[in-house]
Amino acid sequence: MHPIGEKYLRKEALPFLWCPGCGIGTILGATLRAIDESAIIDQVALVGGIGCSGWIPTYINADVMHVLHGRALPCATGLKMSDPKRKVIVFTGDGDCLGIGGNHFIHAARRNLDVTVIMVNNQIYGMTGGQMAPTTPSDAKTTTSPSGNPEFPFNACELAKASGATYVARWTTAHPQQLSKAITKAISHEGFAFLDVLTQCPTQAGRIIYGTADPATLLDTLKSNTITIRAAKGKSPEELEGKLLVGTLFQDNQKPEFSKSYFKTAEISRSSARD
Amino acid sequence: MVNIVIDEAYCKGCYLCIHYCPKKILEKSITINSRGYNIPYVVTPERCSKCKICELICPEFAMTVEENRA
Repeated sequence: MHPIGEKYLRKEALPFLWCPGCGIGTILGATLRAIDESAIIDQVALVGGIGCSGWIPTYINADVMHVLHGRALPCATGLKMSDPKRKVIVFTGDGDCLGIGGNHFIHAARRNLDVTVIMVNNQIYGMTGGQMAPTTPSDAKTTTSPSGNPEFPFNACELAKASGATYVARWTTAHPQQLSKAITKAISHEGFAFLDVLTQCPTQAGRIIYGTADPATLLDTLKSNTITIRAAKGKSPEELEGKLLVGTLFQDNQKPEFSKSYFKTAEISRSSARD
Repeated sequence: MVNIVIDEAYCKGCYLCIHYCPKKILEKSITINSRGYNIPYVVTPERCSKCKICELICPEFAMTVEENRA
């Protein structure tokens, strides 16, 4: 096993439950490299929601919580506010974060809570068998949209930015090196850091939406459907049609972070009560 | 001297390493691991460029690019 796995994984929980060729293992690898680079393993608190992505923290030898569907962010809020020195990293899926967890997501972002949210985006509800999700492309065939998806997907990064997130980035599992660097940046960013990570899902989205279960073909499709900010410069709208932008999409280092402003307000009201 | 270690206990036969190796030095072997997958093997290790894409892309932490002094 790779040394980074030997160092950080719970060996007794192995092997991973994810399907062969699933991108989640790649995301776990990128996260461990970022944690190693930031040397924060003793301060991390990892939270996983429900879905395949929610299992990521359970394989890491650190303080972890595996919580209810859509409720990773309220639990992360509790972890952060009870001990602001913690480095809280949340692993959530596109359904967990933007479906049932949508409300918690917009408010945690609005507050600019200092957490890192890694949203594993396979554009479908994978663990339950392939139902359409808030991020499923229009006209895509899923088990609950057999004649094509009549809805329109969220742009998670735009939603995060509009809600008040102060670090917003998108990458895919076809960019593991850049993803790892982005996670390192997100961890050190003081504020709500959101990463939309597009992932191949051979068993569900692969077979149902993209028509193939071959991980390499799916990953190639992911790479060709995205374009880096640098590569997109100077390209015409026709050339950029249908391509998602990857990279650091937004960063704001000025907005006050929630735990700091909350405890400052608490201290003000305590000192005015004393007077 | 590069030694690419493939941990056959964890390989799930997704072959992303084979597909993404820029030097095309990995191929499916005839060895079947305990999970029933044909694991990859290194055809020409001397052509490895140590890019470590196989390490980064493998979802099971099964690939390690070791550099030993010859």
